[in-house]
Amino acid sequence: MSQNLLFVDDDSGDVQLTLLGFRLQKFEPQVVVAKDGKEALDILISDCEASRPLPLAILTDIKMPRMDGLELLRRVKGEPRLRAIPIAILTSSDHEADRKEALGLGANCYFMKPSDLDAYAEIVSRIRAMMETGSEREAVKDSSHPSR
Amino acid sequence: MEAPTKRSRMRRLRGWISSRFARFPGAPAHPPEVRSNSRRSGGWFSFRLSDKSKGGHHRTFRGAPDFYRLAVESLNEYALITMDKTRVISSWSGPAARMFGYTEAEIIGQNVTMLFTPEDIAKGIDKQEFVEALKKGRQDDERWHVCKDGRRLWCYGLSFPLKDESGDVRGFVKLIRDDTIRKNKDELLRDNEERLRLAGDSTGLGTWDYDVAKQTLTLSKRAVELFDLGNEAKSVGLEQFLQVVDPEDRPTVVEKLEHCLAIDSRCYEDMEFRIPMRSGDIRWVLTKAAAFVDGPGRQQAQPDRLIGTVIDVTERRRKRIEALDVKQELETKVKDRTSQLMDANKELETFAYSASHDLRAPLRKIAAFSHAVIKSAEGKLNAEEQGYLATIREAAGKMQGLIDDQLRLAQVTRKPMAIADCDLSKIARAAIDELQKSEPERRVEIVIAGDARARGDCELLAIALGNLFANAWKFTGKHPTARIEFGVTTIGNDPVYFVRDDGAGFDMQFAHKLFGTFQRLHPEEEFPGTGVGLGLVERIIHRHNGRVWAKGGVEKGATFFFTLNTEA
Repeated sequence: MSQNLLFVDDDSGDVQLTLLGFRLQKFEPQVVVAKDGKEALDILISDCEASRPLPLAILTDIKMPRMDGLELLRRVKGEPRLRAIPIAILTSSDHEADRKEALGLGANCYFMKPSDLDAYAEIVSRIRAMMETGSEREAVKDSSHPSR
Repeated sequence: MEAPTKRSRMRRLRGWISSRFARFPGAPAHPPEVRSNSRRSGGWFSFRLSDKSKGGHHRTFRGAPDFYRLAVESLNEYALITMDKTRVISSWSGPAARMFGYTEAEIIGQNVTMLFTPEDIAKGIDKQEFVEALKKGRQDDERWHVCKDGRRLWCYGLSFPLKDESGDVRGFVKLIRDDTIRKNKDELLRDNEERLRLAGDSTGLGTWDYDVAKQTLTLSKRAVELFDLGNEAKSVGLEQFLQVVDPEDRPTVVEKLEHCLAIDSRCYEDMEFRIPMRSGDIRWVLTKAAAFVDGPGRQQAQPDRLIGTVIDVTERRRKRIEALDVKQELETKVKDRTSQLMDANKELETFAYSASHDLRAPLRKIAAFSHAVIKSAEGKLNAEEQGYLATIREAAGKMQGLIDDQLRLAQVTRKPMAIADCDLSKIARAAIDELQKSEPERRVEIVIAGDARARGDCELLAIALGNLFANAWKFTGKHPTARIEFGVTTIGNDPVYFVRDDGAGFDMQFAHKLFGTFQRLHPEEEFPGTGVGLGLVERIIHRHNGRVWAKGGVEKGATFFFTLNTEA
């Protein structure tokens, strides 16, 4: 399955709700869930080192233990091998400062966690677009390195 | 005893006098002998005006008898009396008559004793005076004399013997000046001094007098005590005085004294300083000094005297310090409490903020999962069951609204103020445009004052005005047409901004509840809302040191006024 999404959130309820929202929008990529920024970064690094395919997009919460979403964003954008992965923020924080910082660090979009499942329609459409860009990038990469 | 002829001749000497009053009363102690034929002698002159016994004409010296008589008569303050050797009055000047009340006719031929007081007569002073004059050449004295009407005059007198060419004593001259007024003044002064001393004694006030030329302080008994100078010292040198002043305070005392003594200073200085006493205690004294300039040119001259008072202020000072301590303690307490209160408030705000924030996630989940159930169980639930789930969603949604409002309130309180010039008219226009866009079908007449400007946090003021307009918009919603106005009026010189509508209004007896957070004056079914909007307005206006109030009536519309006293 090439449609690989890394979803980072410490709240299992939110994970469940988001996946339900996706399903209702008929969007069911292969989702890898990490409980915080640190776990997500470990997965990404180990994928890199093992030359496994990287996720096409990352969807992350901000407020999490050990490493928060903004720090994860900073690390990913600071790592040349990971930099190209598009990142979306899905958070309950309506702090303008958080939004600005996330976009400043290179996040592609910023969503508030909805209480209405219908609101996932927009989120899904944006993530889909991000993942398509990701898969195009992968395709370019694959064609430039046919040996791999 | 002299022969009668000689005596009568002496009487006729009336008007002929030999006088030395040119320098009276500061005459030399031993004036030269009076010689009737000597003209001048070092500023003293002798003269004989007339002797009617010789040809019935005045024998004049240098032909000017009237000149001398006039001179004698014009000396209003001096009575000139001549007597024979037995002190029988032989001449009586005009001023003497005015001073004592006797006419020439009444007094000539009388003994001078009648001008003396019975007390002095009893002591023989009336005779003694002339014995002394004979012995020493002159006799100065001050004493009471008696007038014709019994009044007493305090007089300065100079008596000296009158001698002829051969040096024989022919009688006496007595020159008298009435000093009663000065005497009374002196006595008054003495009385005042005594009164001052008594006042000083009873209040514990010491007095002192500093003679600049001698650099010496003369002190009252109380001042000696207060300065701890030792009982004997009534007068001390400046250096000795400064030695009793605490070394730490000495420079200030010296500086103040010097300031007082500066030319042109009309100073009145207060000095509070310490006296380390021989007993080992420290005494605080308060000294007041005033500079005095004697003599002419008082305005420009350097003071030649300082007079002052001194009082013990140790106890007063102790009480003052105690009072200050108490005051300081109270202030510290108030400060501490205020700070604690502010901390508690801040904590409470933080708690409210984080609690509100943390409540959002579970609420969101309640709403979202209820929605999930509805979605995933579509067709499996009956209408009633679906209704329950819908109610859960609604309740969660409402609670979310309340929490969002609470967060907005906290936000306007916590937000740092960014003061700038704000175009309130423009802000009002933007707010009303938003509302019109949301319900374009409504017919509302909008009136916005042209150039309403104010200093403030424009973002917060936009929230306040936005809420006031939203309020006006909402409460005119039930009317087919409405009018909403934003304007500026004045109270005194201060601008008062207002938002007026002609909507549902409110009962003035509940006006005090308008701005209470989550307080509502209308049923929610009629006018939806959480009741936080006006609470937000009030917080924002208060942050601008302003005041907000409302006037209205049921179905008569409402006007919300506010002032801004932003400190830039």
